[in-house]
Amino acid sequence: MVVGEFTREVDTVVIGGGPGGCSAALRAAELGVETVIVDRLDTLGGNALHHGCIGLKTMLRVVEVIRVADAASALGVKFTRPSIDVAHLHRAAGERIERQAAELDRLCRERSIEVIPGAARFEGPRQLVIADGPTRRFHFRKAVIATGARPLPPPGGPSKSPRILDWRGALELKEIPKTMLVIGGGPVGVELASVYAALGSEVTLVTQEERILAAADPDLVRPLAARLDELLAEVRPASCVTGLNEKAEGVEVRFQNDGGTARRVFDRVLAVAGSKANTDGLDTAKARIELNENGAIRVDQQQQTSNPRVYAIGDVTGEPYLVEKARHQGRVAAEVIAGGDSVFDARALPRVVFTDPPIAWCGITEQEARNVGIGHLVTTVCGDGSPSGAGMGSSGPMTKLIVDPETKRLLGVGLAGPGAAQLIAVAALALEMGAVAEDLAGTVLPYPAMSEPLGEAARQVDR
Amino acid sequence: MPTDFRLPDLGEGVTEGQVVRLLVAEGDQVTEDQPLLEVETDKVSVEIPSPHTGVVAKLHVVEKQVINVGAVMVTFAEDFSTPAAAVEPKPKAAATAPAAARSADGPADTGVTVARTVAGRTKPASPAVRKLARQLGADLQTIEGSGPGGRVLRQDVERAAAAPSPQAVPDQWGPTRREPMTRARRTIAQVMARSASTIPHVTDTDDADVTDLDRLRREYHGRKLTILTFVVRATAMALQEHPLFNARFDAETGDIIYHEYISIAIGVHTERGLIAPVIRNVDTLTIPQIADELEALAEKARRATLAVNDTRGGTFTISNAGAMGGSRYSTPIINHPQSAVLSLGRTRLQPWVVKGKIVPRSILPLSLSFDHRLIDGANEVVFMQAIIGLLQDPAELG
Ligand SMILES: Cc1cc2nc3c(=O)[nH]c(=O)nc-3n(C[C@H](O)[C@H](O)[C@H](O)COP(=O)(O)OP(=O)(O)OC[C@H]3O[C@@H](n4cnc5c(N)ncnc54)[C@H](O)[C@@H]3O)c2cc1C
Repeated sequence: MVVGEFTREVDTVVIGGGPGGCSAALRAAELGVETVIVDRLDTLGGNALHHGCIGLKTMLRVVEVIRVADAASALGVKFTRPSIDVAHLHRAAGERIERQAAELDRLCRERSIEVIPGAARFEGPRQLVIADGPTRRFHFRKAVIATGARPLPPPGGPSKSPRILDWRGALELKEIPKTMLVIGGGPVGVELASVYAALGSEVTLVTQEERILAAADPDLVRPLAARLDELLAEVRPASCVTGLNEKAEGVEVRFQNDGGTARRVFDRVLAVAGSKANTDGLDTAKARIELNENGAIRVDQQQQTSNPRVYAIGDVTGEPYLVEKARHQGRVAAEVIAGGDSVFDARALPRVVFTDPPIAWCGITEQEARNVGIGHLVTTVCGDGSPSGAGMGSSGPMTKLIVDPETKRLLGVGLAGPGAAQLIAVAALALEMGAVAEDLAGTVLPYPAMSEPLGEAARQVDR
Repeated sequence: MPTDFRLPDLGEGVTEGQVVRLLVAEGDQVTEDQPLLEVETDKVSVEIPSPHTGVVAKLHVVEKQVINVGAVMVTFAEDFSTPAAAVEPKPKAAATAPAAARSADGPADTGVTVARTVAGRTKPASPAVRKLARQLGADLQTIEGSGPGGRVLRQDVERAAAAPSPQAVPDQWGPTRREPMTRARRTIAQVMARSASTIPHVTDTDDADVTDLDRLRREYHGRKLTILTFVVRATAMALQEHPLFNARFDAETGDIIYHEYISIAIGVHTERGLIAPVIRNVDTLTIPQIADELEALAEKARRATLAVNDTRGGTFTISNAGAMGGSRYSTPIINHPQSAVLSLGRTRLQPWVVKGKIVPRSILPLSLSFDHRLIDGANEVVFMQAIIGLLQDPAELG
């Protein structure tokens, strides 16, 4: 230790100022716990705000507007072809991000939460150092790790290339590339692929899995898969990328599947297939914090790690990567630190793919029920399938209910089609409340609205 | 559709009972009226007979669990739905909507395997109720939900939390063990605490020389009777002369309420604890009739078939402590809201002074507690002597 350096005593340190870390700090402060946030960015909001969610959601909004305008022609309303100013779009997204970051900053200041820039690292079970900048040491009573996850580089590629991007770069492209490869068939990959296709790129989507969105119910994915077949240049399921070569005309990509190998050249490659918990720089071993086999931090239901002083929340604890999961876990950790007995016991965890058509589900899926051997009954009601663009009539998403055959309790809800992203909130509430189908069937829903198939499905279970 | 069987209404305003014993297991074939389980309410325990002949697919209760009237206890694999339910037409799936309701493949929906069907592994309960359960330290998974689909409700959690589960709880000095009281024991605890804390007790002790009575009772009109039979008779006669001991004090109004009838509760010890079934209108019964009543009560107590009503409506209590062991005197607690209780010690041969000589006599020790709010020591002495006089001169007992 350098002479003259002093160690500061703090009650609770939150490492990482993303949605998880911020909500932990805000809740802790609300409960009267002295809290500081350390983040290596000089702004709050984390990945969700600065490198993903908001940027992508803004672009998806553009895609939606284009489609709604298109669909309006059915009602006799015609628009001219849209022109897209990408720089303007980025600026708009940037402003939105700024505003939200400023709001987080204000909330923290209001509650006297100090925000310290720098990368934190453990020096012992209750010691922390902030490495960059003037070194500072902390002695904490409690710590919350909320450092999120980061993208893994694609296999077999050059370590740095302006043409090969992860999700951080994918949302900052200055112009729409002519051809693009998206590596990764998860929600982010599918969303990015459909954004750039709608904006005019020839997009190829490749995934190692047998199909895109492998975690989702195949019945729900089918309408989207059909749409992507029209929209994208190509979808390559069950394929590996084995090599990336930077050339003058673009990136040459080698694919391999059961059928053999193939080579193609793309202007840009977006690699969003894998990510990893941000634990590397933390020196978790020094604080006796155990990781699981995927390198994520192991926690119990109260978000406590193997070091009883230290909690971990959000993406750094593993999949699924969801903003609201991180926030809830943050509040649980804060309440436990303040002496409460909270646990994270969410049963619904809504998942949404913001594509066109959108897909949403919560609770268990039919495959999960079958794999685990949970008795279940499935009822499916198709929406009328017409695009919601015109905002007319009673179209709604295809709705799939998974219920317990004995009690008719809802175990899972899946939606595919217009309104899915919003409607899944109703389903999540029903699941958390332990509702039986009759509860949903007995609820008067609005008309005309996207909720109609949901009510109809519940009534069918009830019969 | 399997059939649920719920805890039926047990009458007498009883809303819950505790499962004492399960008499069948999951998978058992049972016949109609075969006892399924034994449930204990305030002071009675009842065997619940099966309403159907069929297979027990699932038991929803465990021993020691407290369940509400209406809670599902057993699910039968078969469909026994009543004709009334069958009348409801089962509408076909609407032909207009392109819909499909189907059963999942897999083994889960045949009737017999219904017991293996797990509803998502977790108990249905709203987030607020789950939080409450945590706060009260109740294990949600073990709570029987009384809501639709077995949903655990706020009151289910509160009730479960009120009944602590067995667990080891170390204290400062060493390990201890926590166990729930039986329903019957809890009732006794409440009743005793109320009596001891609201009634100012005074206890007096004396002896009755029952040598002559002991001879008489061995061959009473060709029948061997217990000393207790005669004590009941003597007490009934004494109560007729001393109505204060057959009264109760109304603390609200300050009135004394005299009972115009004499019904004596007999405190007996059973496996389930202390109970006091009542012999009604004792003053109108002959000695053989009292003996018959006592025998009937003893039989019911042994078989635990006493009804709730059998233990209510007593005006005075006799506790036969002597029958349970070697005690001589005790300080019995009054059976609230009565005004007095008589406890019998064990009759034994004692050296006794009769007409200036020490002779062996059969001596019955008596202990009498009374409510000092309405009875004074002077009253008590007279009442005790009246009973002793009758026991020492059995000819008077008629
Ligand atoms: C493109 C994209 C789209 C997404 N879309 C959605 C969506 O639609 N819906 C949804 O729910 N989720 C979405 N997600 C996931 C979501 O962004 C994450 O689940 C969420 O950000 C997790 O929050 P967090 O607080 O755990 O971590 P993060 O938001 O990742 O925040 C972690 C913070 O910790 C800081 N940090 C890391 N290490 C250190 C260190 N050693 N010292 C100090 N600070 C450190 C980082 O700078 C960062 O600010 C999306 C993600 C991406 C990439």
